[in-house]
Amino acid sequence: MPSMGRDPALGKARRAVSGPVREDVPSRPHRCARAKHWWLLAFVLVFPASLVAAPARSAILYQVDPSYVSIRFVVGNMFGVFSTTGDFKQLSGSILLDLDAPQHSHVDVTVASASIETAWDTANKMLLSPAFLDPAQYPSVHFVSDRVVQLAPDHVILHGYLTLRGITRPQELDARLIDEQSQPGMGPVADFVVTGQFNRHDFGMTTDFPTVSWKVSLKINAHIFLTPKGSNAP
Amino acid sequence: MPPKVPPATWSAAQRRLHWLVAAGVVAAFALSLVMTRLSDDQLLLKFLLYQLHKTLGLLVLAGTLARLVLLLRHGRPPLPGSFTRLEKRAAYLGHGVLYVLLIVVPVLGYLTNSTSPSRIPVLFMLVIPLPNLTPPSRYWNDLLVTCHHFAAIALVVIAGVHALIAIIHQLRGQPILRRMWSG
Repeated sequence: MPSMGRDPALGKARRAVSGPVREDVPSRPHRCARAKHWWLLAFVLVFPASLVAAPARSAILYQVDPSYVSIRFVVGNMFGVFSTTGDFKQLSGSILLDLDAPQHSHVDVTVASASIETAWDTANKMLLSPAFLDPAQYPSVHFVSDRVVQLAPDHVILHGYLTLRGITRPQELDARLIDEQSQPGMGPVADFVVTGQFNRHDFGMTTDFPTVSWKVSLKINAHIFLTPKGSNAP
Repeated sequence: MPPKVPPATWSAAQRRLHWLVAAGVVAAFALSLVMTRLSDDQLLLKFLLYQLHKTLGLLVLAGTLARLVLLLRHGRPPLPGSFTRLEKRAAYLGHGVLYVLLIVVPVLGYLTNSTSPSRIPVLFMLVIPLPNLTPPSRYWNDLLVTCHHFAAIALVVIAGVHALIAIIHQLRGQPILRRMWSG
């Protein structure tokens, strides 16, 4: 299946948006069905039809390719006289966007805590220490959305849970679709920009203030490809 | 331009600036020995000492530029007549090298900070943020750290020799140290 794109067949076939998107749901009915596989053809035709009986919703889902996602944090240093920015280089999971009904979007992302990287060696060392991310004990950081509240056609609040150092707490993230534009050869593209902040003290990172601020800002940027409606192109 | 007839003594401003710059160099150098040895457990102290070092470096630079302006406007008292021709040449060369290093070392320090990937600003007097002049670059930062380091060592060594020679001349009855101290 194409990794991204607006696919009406997929949209109709999938009612629920929970769970990772990378499961192997065929993007469209198998066209290779031969007569001897009549049962398969029947199944493929009947199965989606059985779901149409559910309340209609035109879920158009976007799987976001992790290579187009950056997960960045910013902390203030020394009472905020300067700041340090870092990126999580390894992430997995799914970002499912339903642009027609944003409240049905779903985000479930796990990042490898050892993959944190800043441009400052001292900060890298600190982040990997037991007082901060402690990857040896807590190898991953996880966010899963629970409820999506739409504020505007291109603006939602993701309510969910952030798990950091084994501590899970409710977390709100602000998500916008911005910079919609046409990219030659790719069709329309946009950036799904998610911002939020948390207090690191809440997650057991209780040392090194004021060298490192309590407040940690998050900025997640996902570049997505918006295929025009009705097109099967990836 | 310096006056046609050289002054008999250093002006009070020249004397004060000489010793202030000297004190700045000594303090900045002493700080560098401490701050670079601090572990990351003492990051806040380390940060403060680095900022103090940066402030001192900028003060040394400003003081040196002011000294050059005074040298051009006021001139300098001649070296004692008892100096040999070789001693006079060596003195002018040594002073020239010292002036160059007093400018080069702080400038290299500032550029070291500017190219640092950590993007920690220079906070003059611990409060006034000064801009980075270059984008971050690990390559240039490594190179500049080395240059700043060796130029600073050269400055301190040559300044030490300069002080030693001044003391020796003073003890030999050529009161050049005294005239820099009390005019």
